[in-house]
Amino acid sequence: MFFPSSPSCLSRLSCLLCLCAVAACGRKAAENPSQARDWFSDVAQSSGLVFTHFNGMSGHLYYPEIMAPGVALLDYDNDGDLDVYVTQGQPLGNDPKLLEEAKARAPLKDRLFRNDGNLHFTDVTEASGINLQTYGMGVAVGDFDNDGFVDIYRTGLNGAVLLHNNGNGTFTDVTKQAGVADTNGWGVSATFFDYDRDGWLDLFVGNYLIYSTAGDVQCESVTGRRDYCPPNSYRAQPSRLYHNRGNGTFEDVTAKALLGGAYGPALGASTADFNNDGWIDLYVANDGQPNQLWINQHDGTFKDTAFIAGAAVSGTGQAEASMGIDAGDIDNDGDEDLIITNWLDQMNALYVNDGTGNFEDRRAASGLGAPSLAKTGFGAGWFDFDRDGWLDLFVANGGVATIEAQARAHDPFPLKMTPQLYRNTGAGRFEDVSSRAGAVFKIADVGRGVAFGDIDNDGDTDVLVANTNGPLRLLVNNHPNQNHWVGLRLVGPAKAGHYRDMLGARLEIIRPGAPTLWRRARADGSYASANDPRVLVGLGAATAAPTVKVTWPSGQVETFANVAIDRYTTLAEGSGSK
Amino acid sequence: MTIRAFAGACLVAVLIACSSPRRDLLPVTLPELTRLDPGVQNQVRERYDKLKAAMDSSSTPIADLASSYGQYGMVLQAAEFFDVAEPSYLDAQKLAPDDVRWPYYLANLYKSRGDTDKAEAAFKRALELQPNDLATLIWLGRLELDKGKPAEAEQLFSKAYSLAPNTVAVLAGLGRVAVDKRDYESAVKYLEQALAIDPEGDSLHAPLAAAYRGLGQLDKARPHVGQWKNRDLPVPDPRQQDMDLLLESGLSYELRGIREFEIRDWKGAAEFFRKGLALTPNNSPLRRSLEHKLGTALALQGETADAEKHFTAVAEAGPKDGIDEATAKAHYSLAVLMASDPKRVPQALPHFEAAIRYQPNYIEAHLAMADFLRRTRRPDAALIQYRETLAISPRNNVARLGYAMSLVDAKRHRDARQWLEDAVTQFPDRTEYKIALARVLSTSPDDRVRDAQKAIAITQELYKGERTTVLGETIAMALAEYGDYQQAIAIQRDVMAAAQKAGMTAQLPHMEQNLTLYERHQPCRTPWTDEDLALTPSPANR
Repeated sequence: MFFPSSPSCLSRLSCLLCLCAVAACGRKAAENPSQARDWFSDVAQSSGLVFTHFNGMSGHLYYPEIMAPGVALLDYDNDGDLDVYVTQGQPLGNDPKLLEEAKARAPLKDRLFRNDGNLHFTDVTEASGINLQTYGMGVAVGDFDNDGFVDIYRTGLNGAVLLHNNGNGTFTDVTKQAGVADTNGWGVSATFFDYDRDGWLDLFVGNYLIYSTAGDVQCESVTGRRDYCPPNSYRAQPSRLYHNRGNGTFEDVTAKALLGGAYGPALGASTADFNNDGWIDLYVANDGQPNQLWINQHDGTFKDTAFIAGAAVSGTGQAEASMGIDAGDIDNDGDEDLIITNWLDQMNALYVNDGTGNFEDRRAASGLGAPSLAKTGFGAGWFDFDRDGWLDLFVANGGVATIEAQARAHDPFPLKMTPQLYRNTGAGRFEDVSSRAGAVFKIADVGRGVAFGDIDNDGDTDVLVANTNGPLRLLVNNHPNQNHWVGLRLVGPAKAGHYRDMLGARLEIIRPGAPTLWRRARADGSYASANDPRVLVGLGAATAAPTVKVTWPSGQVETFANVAIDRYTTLAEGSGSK
Repeated sequence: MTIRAFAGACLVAVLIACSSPRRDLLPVTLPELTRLDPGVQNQVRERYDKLKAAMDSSSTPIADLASSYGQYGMVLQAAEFFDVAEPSYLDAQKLAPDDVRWPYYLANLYKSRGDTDKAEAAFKRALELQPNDLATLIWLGRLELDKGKPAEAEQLFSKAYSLAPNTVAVLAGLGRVAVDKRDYESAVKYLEQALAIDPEGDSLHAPLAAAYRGLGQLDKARPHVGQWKNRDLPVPDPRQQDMDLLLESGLSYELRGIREFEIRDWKGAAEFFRKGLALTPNNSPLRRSLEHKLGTALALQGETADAEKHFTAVAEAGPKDGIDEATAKAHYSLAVLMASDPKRVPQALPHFEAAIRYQPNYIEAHLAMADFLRRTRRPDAALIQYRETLAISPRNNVARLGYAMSLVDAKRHRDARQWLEDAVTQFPDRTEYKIALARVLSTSPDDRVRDAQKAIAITQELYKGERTTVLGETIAMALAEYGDYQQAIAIQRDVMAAAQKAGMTAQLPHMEQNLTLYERHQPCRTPWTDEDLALTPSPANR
C-alpha cells in the first residue's frame, strides 16, 4: 500500500477508505464458509483409483459378504510414491442372477494401481502378472527376501497367497514354495515382523472362523427378519505364525512359538514393543473373544499376557467384538497405546500403556468412547493429521447387521455408517471433529480396510478407505495448518541400489526446547490393510531440526543429528552415530 | 343462550382446545412390515390400530391415549424400529408427563442409538419421577461412566447402594468407578463383595484382576485371570424384562428359552421353545434350531424318549449329504442319548460318525466320540478322533490328555511319554500335563519309560502350588516306584482321608487298591482309571 508523499486531508481520508475496503474484502473472504476447504476430500474417482468392491451377495446373506476388503499402500516400483493394492470378492453361492452379475463385471480380481504422481493412478494389474480371482480379504506388505522390493501377502476366504515382487513391475506367486499357504484358512489381517531379530521378516496370519458356504448358518433377528449371523455361530480358526528361514521359505512355528496356543476369531493384528524391552511383540484383536497380547520371550516364543495386563477384555469384564486395531504413542510418554474398534453398543477401546506393557482402559475418560457407541468400527489408525505433534484418530465404520431404517428405504446393502475423525487435544482427551472435517464424513458407506500414508508426498498423511460392496475412497489431507513436520524412511542396507523398509524400527524425535516424540516404522495395524511404512512426524510450530535416535529391529541404536524438517529423509541402518 | 354466553362458551372451548395436550403431537406412522415375522406384524398392527382408534375418538381419556402411544412405541422399539418408536414415546410423554415408563424407554432407545446426551437427559427425567428406581440408577450410572463422568456415576451408584447394598450390578458399578479413579483398594472391596454374593459372576474376575494388579498384588490377580468367563451381569430391571418378553416371534422365544437354560430351568426352557415353534413357519431355518433345543431341554429333564423324537425329526429334515450344522447336532445329541443307555450303546457310534460327516469341524462330536471309543476299549480309533479334535482346536486340553491316555491304552508307552513331555513344554502353565507325565514316568510297564526321579522332581515342583488329591496320588505313585513305600503309604492314606472327607467316594476303591499294592511293596502300574477323564456330554444346545 502506497501513501501520497504529502497527503492532504482529503487524500488521507480516501486512503483510509481504501484501507477499510480492502480490510472488509479480506475479512469477508476469511468469513465466507463456502471458501473454506474441506480438511479431507475424496479424490479416488478423479485420480483414477476407480474400483468398486464386489462382495458376492445374492440375498442369501452369506457371512463373508460383510467382512472384506482390505487395502494396501506400498511403493512396489521404488519410485518414491505410494501405489495401491486392493482385494476383490467373488460370487458366493450359485444364485443365477448373481452369477450373471459377476459375469458382467468380469474379471473380478484384486487390483494394483501405480501412482504416477500428481494424484494420478493407473491400473497396472494386467502388466503386473497378478491374477487373483479368489475371494480376497486382506493385505500385508513386507520385503520377505530382503531384495529391496516390497512383496505382498494376500489373505483370503480359503487360503492365502504370497506374491514376490520381481523388481521389474511384475509379481510371482511363490506361496507353495514359501510354505505360507495358510491352507483352508480364512485369514483377514496379517503382519510381517522380525520377531527373532535375525534380519528376516517373519509372518503372522490372523485367522477368523472355520467356514464354508456349504456349511453357512442362517440366522434371524428377533422380528423374524433374515440377517447376518454373529461370529459365535461358527468356531474360531487357529491363527498361524511363520518363521522366515532366510532362504525364501517359512516354517510354521505356531504350536511351539505361541505358548498355550490361545487364539480367537482374529480380525486385527498389530506389532510393537509393548513392554519396552527392545523386542517386538504382537497384539491380536478377536471378534467376541478376549484379545491377546503376545509378549516376546526373546527365545522364539511368545506368552499371552493380555488378561493380567488389562488388555484382554473391557473394564466391565466383557470380551468385545473387536475388529480394527492400531498401536501408537498417543500421550507422548514413550510407550505404545492401543485403539481397538468394536461393535456398536461397545465403545471403541483405548488401552493406555503404563510403559511396562500393562494397560488401563481409558475409553470413556478420553472422549473416544461415547461417540463410537452408535457405530461399528473397522479400519482405524493413529496419525497426526494436523501435524501438531499429537496422534489423532480416523475410524471407518460400517455395520454387520441390518439397519432397519435403511432396509425400509430399500437400500440393498443396509449396513452403512459414516466415518469419524478425532483430534487429540494433548491432554489425554480426544474431540470428535468429524462434522468439521469435510463433506466426505457425511457419506455413509460400509467401511472396512483403511490404509494411512502420504500419497501425494506433500508432508501430511492421507487416508485410503475400502468399503464392502462400495467404492474406494482416497481422502486427501488438505488441513489448513502451517505446522512443520519431518518425514523419515527407515531402511536397511542397500541391495543393488534398493532398500528395504525396516519395519518395527523405533524412533525418538528429540526436539530442542520441546518434548521428545516417539514413533515407529510400521505397515501393519488397522483392519486387513497395510500402511505407508514411512514415519511422518508433526512438529507443531517448532522449526529447529530434531535429532532422531533409531532403535533398529536388530536392537542396534543409532543417532542422526539435525534431520531436515519439512521434507523426507532416508535413514539407513549403519549410517548413523552409535 | 345469549350471544354473549355463546361467545363465552366458544371462547372457553377454543381455550380448552388450544391448551389440550393432544395439540402439537408428533405424527406417528405404521412402518412397512412385510420383512417381519407374521406374528410380529400382527402385534405391531394391533397396537397401531388401537392407537389410531384412541386418536380418532375425542372421548378417549388422555391417560389411555398416552398408554396407547407408549405401547405402540414399545413394540416398535422391541422390533428395532427406533426412528418410528421415538415420536410415539415423545407423544406418550407429552400426554402423561408423570408416567415414568416413557422417559425410561426413551432413554433406552437413545442408548441403543448411541445418542448418549439424549439418553442421559431421559434417564434423569425418569429419576425425577422415581428417584429411588434401582434400574434407572444403575443404567444412568453406567452411562455416566461411558461418558467419562465418574463423579456423577459415583453419586448414582452410591444412592443405589444405599437402597440395595447386595445387588451385584451396583457393587460392580462402584467397583468400576473406583478403578476409574485408580482407587484400587476400594475397587477390590466392592468387586470381592460382588463376587461373594454371586460366585457365578464370571465377568467380575477381569476387573478384579485389574484392581489387584493396580495394587501391585499380582499373586492375587493371577487366579482371577483363569476364572474369567464372558457373562454379562444382570441388572434387576422389570421394565426391560417386559420389553424383552414383548415380541411374539420364534427367535424371541428361543432367546427366552436360552436364558432359562442358563439358570438350569429345563422345564421353563422347554415351554418357551414350544411357544417359539408354534410361531415359526415350517420353512424357517429357525424351526430346526428350536426343535433341537426343545429336545435338549426334554433330555435334561430325563424325558429321553420325547427328546429322541425331536432329535430324529431334526436329523430327518436335513439333507441326505453335505455339510449341515443342524443335522450334525441332531446326530450328536442322538449319539449322546444312546451312549448313556447301556442297552443302546452300540447304536451310538453311527450317530457320532454321522455328526462328523455332516460337520467335520464339530469339536464336541470328535471329542465325545474319542472318549466313547477309549472307554469301549478301541484306543487306536480313539487316537484318530483326539487328533482330529486337536487339528481343529490345538488348545483343547481334554483332547491332548485323552490322546496320552489312549497311547497308554494302546501300549505305546514311549510315545505317551514323548507326547506329554511336548505338552509340558508347549503349555507350561497347565498342571494336568505335568501330573499325567509324572504318572507315566512312575507307572509305565516299560522300564525304558519309567523315571522315578524325574517324576518326583515334577511332583515336588507342583507341591508348591495347589495340593489336590490327584497330586497326592501322583506323589504316592512316584515314591512307590522310587522304592520309598513307607512314604507312599503315608501319603496315600492322607489322600484317602481327604477324599473321604470331601465325599469323593467313587474314587476310594481304586485308591484302596493302590494302597494295598504299596503295603505289599509293589509299585502301581495303572496311571489312571477310565473315569479320570470321563466326559459326560449333554445333548448339543448351541
